[in-house]
Amino acid sequence: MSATVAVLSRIRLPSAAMTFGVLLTGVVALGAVLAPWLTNADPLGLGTDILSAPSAAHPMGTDDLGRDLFARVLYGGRVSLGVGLFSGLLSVVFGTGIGLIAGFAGGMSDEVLMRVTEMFQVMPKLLAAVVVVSLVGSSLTNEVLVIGLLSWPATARVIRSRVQVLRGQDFIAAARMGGASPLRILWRNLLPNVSAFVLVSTSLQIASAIVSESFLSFLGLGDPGHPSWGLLLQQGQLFLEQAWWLTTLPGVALAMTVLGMNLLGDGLSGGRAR
Amino acid sequence: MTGLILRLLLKRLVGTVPLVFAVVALTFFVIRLAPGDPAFILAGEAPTPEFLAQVRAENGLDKPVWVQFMTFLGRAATGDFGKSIFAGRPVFEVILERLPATALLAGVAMVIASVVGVLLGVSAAKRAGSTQDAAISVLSLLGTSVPSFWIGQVLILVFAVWLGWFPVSGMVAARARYTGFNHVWDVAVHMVLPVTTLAVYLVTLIARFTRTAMIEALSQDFILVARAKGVGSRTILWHHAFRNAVVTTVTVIGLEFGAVLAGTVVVEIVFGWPGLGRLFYDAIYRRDFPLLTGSFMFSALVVIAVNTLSEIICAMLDPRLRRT
Amino acid sequence: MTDPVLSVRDLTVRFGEVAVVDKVGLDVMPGEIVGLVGESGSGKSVTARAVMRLLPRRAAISGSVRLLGEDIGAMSERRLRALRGSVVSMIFQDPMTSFDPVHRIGAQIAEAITVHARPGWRKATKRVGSLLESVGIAPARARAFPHELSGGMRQRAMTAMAVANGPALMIADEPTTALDVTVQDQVMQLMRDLNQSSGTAILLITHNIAVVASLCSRLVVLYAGRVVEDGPTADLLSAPRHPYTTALLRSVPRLDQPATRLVAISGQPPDPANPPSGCMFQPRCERAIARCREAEPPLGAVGAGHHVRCWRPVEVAA
Repeated sequence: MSATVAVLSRIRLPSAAMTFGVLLTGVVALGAVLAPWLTNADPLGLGTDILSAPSAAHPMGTDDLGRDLFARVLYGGRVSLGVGLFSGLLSVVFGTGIGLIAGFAGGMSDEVLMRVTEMFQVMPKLLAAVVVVSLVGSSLTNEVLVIGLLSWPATARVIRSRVQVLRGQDFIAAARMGGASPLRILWRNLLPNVSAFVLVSTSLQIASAIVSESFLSFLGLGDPGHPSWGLLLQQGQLFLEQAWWLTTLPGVALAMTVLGMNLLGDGLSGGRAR
Repeated sequence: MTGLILRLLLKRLVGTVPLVFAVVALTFFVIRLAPGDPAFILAGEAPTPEFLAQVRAENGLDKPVWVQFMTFLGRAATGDFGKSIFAGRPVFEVILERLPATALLAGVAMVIASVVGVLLGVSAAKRAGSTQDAAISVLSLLGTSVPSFWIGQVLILVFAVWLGWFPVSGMVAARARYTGFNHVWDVAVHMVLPVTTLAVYLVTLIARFTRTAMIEALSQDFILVARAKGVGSRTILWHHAFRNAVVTTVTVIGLEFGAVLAGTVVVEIVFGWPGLGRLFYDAIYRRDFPLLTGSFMFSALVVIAVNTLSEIICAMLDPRLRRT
Repeated sequence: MTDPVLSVRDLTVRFGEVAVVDKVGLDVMPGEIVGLVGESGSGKSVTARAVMRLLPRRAAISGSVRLLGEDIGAMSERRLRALRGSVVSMIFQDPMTSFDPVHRIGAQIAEAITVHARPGWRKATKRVGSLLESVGIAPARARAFPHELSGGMRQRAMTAMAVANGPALMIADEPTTALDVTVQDQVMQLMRDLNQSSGTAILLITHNIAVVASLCSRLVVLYAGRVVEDGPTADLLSAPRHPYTTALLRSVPRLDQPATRLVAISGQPPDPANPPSGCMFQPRCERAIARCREAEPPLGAVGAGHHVRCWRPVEVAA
């Protein structure tokens, strides 16, 4: 069975929740991608209209420097989603790799890898990210790397369990007897069969990464040249009582995206992810 | 029972030594991650040459790395986590000062979250498949998806700014100097919104995991056996099913404690609560790296302690986990 | 004439459209051991659970089940709970999962007692101790957790729990299936002793003919949710009248007869959602005639206390 068929055959018909999730994420993602066509305003452009409520001219209002919030939310979405996507993917790739090796090799390598995984899991991930980013500097690349490299344990655990189940099955024994090298077995036999889990994990990890990124930028550690939603929320905090739109609206976008990705991941796994 | 607790404690403590070591080692090396001279990191922005030299000497930065590490390790073991640049005082001292406020917030939030989460999870499991169950599941998903700082901000907007029921920020009313019961009430009123914000994430998580564990427990044979004995449904639900599911609940709380800690940082910022979270945030802004890394190490150790505690409690709850 | 402890008439259990048990009737007299025999899927466990009203809510039950004369269908939940564990009790198939893993064995047995009466803690503990002794377990083991006991010990502890309140009827659902052969024997012996010493009637549910042969005075054979034959054990084993019973006996090795080939029954039990026309056994029956496909036979008497549901019962050797 080709890998593609294996993946596709495991995707269930979308449930209502999953469809809703795709819709939510889709709307926000489209908004971010189509930003230049949806608004003429410059997200970094200062203006004279300070702290004005949502109106026809500024659909989401403006902040204390006269910048249009709608534009900032849309362009900010690019950053938040981008960082979320890449760091999510990074953690899935890393986690799947470790999970595959640990689950398949067993024995000492498994022990060692699991101890390391445990160490990363116990460490408060977000606080560690804060410390590291403060030290190495807050560029987008650094953010992606740090978030991605701290989030893999969850995926690793899931993949490892699955591989352990598969390891005992006949088709693996058959491949071994056919003289296939371990690497080949991992790539051709095991990987397609954990693909469903990888897919689910990807969705959930991206959701988690988006939250992590917003956490970092809320604390002021986001890339200053590329404002993301978290930064918007931090700036809105200062004017909480005067300008409710500055905090509520970016948050809605954030919530929609994360909820959407979580629903998607949940739906893909048939509710078994949790 | 005490003999059992002691044995478990000993065994788990031994198990955490490598973890603790790893955390300390990580903290040590993380400072050296930054580009540039570690002395500048530890001395702050634009230090005087004398101060710089002093920092170098205090931290033995001219000695070989492994010697530095040993010193660091030794100091950490005695509670010396370095000296805060901004405060000019030992990090540990500063942390202890702010600890009670955070402990109050996090402690209350965790207790409330556990109780509410368990009740929601059990009632959802009891009516599994019903609309009430589905509603709770949807709310759970919402609660875990939305970042806590935004929830905090929304709560302030609705309940403090718009409705005016609660104060907007702070732990105590700024100008008043309450004592005794008035003081307690003042703090309590200030605590409502931040505790709710902090608890939301945990409640949804606990509710979800408790529900799953309860459904699993209720499908076991021994439940049918208990019914055949004539045991009432309330007793079956709590004395048998929940008593089996509670291990999952405790495990979840232990595992998510790190997230709760991160939550306190943002909640304290949003609500102006004078605790460790605010300290951490200020340290970021002031680039007070000794304080930053020191607080990180402290929180990581607390997380390890909480994890160990939850493992011990699980072993006490489930006799099958006691095999030593 | 004494009243039966258990009297089941026209019991039908439906899950949605599908009838898993159809018009089953049986009686258990005081002190009697009756065997309910059939292969998996024949509806024996469902019947047993229906007697105690332990089926899930979506099961639709009709017919009458009378326990010591009382109709259990008309009872309130409260009355039912009062009877469960005290007048009628049940032991289940899998001893590994039948005990709550987080509570001690003694506590769980005591629970069976305290749910129905309020003896002091000391009294209950003593009673648990003597119960355990009566099933061959040292009273000190009451402090053990279920995972610390072997399968056989757990099953014996279950039995102790089931007789704790001196029930009039004990239902044993496949009590030996999950056990080793050596342990099976112990548990069977235990049941016989309990029956003789306390006069507890037993409804023994099993697919194992060997087990019923030694214990039961009467047998009820179930096939596809229907009673196909019932009567005294001796009669059924020596001269079975229903083709299914005959086939069942032929598939089991017998010590009292010359060694012959074991014959498996060909085919599969019918799918309750898609029953065959006429008699339920007819597709697999070697004696089937045209009439068998047209209509389902009624349960008719072929001897004293012996009934058969068949258009062409097996002849008795003259």
